[in-house]
Amino acid sequence: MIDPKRWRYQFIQFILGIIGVLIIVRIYSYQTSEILPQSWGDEGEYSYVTLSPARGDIYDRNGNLLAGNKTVYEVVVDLDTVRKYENAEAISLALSVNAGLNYRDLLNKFSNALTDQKYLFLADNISTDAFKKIDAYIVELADKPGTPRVNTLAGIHFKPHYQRFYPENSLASNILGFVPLNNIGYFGVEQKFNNLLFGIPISEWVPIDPNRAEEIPQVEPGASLILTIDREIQSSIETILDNTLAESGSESGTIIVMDPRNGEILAMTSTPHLDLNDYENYEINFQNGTPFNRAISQAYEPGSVLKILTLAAALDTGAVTPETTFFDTGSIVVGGVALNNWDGGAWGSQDMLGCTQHSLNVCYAWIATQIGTENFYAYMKKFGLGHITGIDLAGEAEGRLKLPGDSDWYMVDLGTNAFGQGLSVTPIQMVMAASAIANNGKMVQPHILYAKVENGAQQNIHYDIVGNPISPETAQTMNEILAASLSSESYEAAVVDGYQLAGKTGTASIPVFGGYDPSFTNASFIGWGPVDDPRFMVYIWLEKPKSSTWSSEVASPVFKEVVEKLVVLMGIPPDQIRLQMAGQ
Amino acid sequence: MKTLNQLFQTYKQASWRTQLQWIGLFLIGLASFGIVSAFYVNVTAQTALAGREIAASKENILTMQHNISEMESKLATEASTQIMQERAKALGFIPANPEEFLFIFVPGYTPKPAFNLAPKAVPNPAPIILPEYTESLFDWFTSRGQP
Repeated sequence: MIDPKRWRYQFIQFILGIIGVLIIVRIYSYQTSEILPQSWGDEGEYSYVTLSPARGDIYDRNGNLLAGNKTVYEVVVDLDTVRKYENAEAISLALSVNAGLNYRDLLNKFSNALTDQKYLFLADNISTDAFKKIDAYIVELADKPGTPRVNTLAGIHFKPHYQRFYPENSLASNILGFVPLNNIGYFGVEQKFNNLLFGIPISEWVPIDPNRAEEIPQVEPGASLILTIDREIQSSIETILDNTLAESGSESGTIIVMDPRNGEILAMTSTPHLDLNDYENYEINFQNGTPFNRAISQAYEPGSVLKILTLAAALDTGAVTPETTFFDTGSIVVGGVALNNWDGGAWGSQDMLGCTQHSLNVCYAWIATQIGTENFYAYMKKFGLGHITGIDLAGEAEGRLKLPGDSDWYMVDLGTNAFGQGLSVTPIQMVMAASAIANNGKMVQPHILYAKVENGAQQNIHYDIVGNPISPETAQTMNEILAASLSSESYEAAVVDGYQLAGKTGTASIPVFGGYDPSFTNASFIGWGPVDDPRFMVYIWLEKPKSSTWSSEVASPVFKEVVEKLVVLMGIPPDQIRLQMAGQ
Repeated sequence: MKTLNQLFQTYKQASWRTQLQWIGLFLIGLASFGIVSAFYVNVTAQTALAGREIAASKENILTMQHNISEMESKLATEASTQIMQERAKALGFIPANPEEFLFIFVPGYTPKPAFNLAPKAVPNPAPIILPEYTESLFDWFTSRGQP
C-alpha cells in the first residue's frame, strides 16, 4: 500500500536536494574561480600601485651614520575646498611663515590654477618641523568652531616621503656621492651601489575599498652599507688637507689612507668637497669638468713616488741589488734624449739607497735600462698601471701607460717612466701598486665596502689578493731601503718620533702643450708604517703648491701630520712599546 | 492520477490548510533568509573590521617608519663629528698628541668586535589576517591533512 503522504517527503527531499546541489556548485565556483587583476581594475575595486622602499643607509666602519633618510612633506590642496572656504591666502601665509616659502609665489599658484582643476601641488620638501607647526595650527583651529572660514587651512594635505640626508654634511662627500629627488645616486658609493641601496619596489593590485580584508605587502628597505671608512680619520685628514691647501696655496689636494694588509680604505678625500645636503651646488663647486673624486678619477704624472715601483722591479728581476753602485754624472742619454737630475747636479757614486734618498732621475733611468724595456713594462702592468684598480666607487679613471709598440711610445719613455714622468696614474693606482711592497709582495684590492645588510642579515665582504708582482724578499728589501731613506735628513719633515716608517716623495713637472710647465709642480708623497707590521698607507697629492714646488717641503710635513693623527686614532703604540707588548 | 485528485479534493474541503501551509512555507523561507543574512552580515562586518584595522595599521607603520627615520637623522646630526668636536671643546677637551698617550698591557684584553648592524634574529611575526580569511577549502583540507 502506498502511503498517501509520501509525496510530501519526496517534495522536501527534492527541495533539499536542489539546495544541496546549489551549495556544492557555489563551493566549487569559489574554489576554482580566478579573477584577473585587469577585471579588478576595470571594476574600480582595485588599483595597481608601486610601493617604493626606503633607500638603504650608509654607515662608517664603527656604525656612525653617513647617509640616511629624513621625512619631508609634499603639500597638495583640494581646490574645491579652497574655493568653498576662500582660504588661499591663509594657506599661503601659513606655508610662508612656517616653511619659508614665498607668499606671492604661492598665491600665484592658486590664481593660475585652471577653473576645473581639482587638486593643486603647492610645494615639496617641507621639513617635519614646519609640518608640525602647521599641523598644530590646524588642530588649534579645530578647537575653535567660531573661526571665520577664510582663516582656516581647510583643503591642505601633507604627504610624507623620504629624502636623502647626510648628517655629516660635506664629510666624506667625495666618497659618498649624492642622491637628488629622483632617488638615483650620483658619484661615489651612492652611484656604484645604487641598485642595492634603492631596494626592490613592489607593484601590486591593492583594494581601493578599505573594507576589504587583504594584507598589503611590506616593502623591504634597500640594503644598508657599512663602509671601511673611519669617520674620525676621515674628519682628521679633511681638516689637514683643507689647512694644507690654505697654507701652501695648492690648487687642489688628495689624501688616501688605506690598510695595506687588506685594501680597506680608511679615509679618502680630495678637493673640492660638497655639502651633500645642498647638492644643487654641484655645478658651482665642480666647474670645467673638475673630477668629483680626484683620488680615483684624475690621472696625473706622479713623479718620483713611482721610483719605488722601478726599484722594486729592478730588485725582483735581479737587475740590481741594494749594494749596486751607479756613478752619477748628472746626465744620461736614453733613446737619444739627455735626462737630468731634479737639481741638474751630478751626485757621483751612489748605491740604491743613495739613489732613492736623493731621488736621482739619472740613476733611475739607468736602472730602467738595466731592467730592460720588456721587463720594465711587464712589471708596471703587474703593478696595475694603465688599468683601473676596480675600487668599488663610481667614476674610476685608468690613467695611461704607454707601451712599446704604441704610436706615441719612444725609447726615451723608458727613462722618463722610470722616475714617474711620461705616464699617468691615479692616486688609488699608486696606493694599490705600493701595497705589494708594504704587504710582503701581495697586492691588495682597494675597496670601500665593508659589509652589506640585507633582509636582516649582514654579509661581510671579503676581497682576494689581486696579484703578487714581486717576491716577499724583494718587498722586504724595498721596505728596508725606503725606511732608511725616510729616516735620512732629506726626509726630516716626514719623520714621526717612535715609529719606523717607509716612504718616498715625488715632485713632478706638469705637462702642458709643447712641454712642461716651468712654474708649477705636482707634489706627492707615499708612505706607510709601522714598517714591520704596516697598519696604514698614506698617499698625498698637492696640485701646484705655491709655497714651495718641492714635495719634501710641502707634502712631507702633511704625511707627518697625518701619521701623528693615525697613530692616535688607531691606537698604534710606538714601535718600542709595541714590540715589548708583543713579547709579553 | 488518483492521488492528484485526492490532493485537490482535500484542499477544496479545507482551504485554510492551503493558507496555513503557505504561511508556514513563507515563515520557513524568511527564517532561512534571516539566518543566512545574519551569517553574511557577521562575516562581512568582521571582514570590514579587519580591513579597517589593516588600513589603520598600515598608516601607523608608515608614520612610525617616518618618525624613526626622522629621529635617526636627528640623532646622527647631534652625534656628527662637527657637533661632537664642538661639544668636546666646550667641555674643555683638547686633541691628544701621540706623546701624551700611555700604553698599558692588559692581559686577556680582547679588542671590540667588528661592527654588526644586523638585528638579532626574531621569530617571524604572526600574519595580521587569520588564514580563515584567505585560505581556500582545498588549503584548509591540505593543512588539516598535514601531521
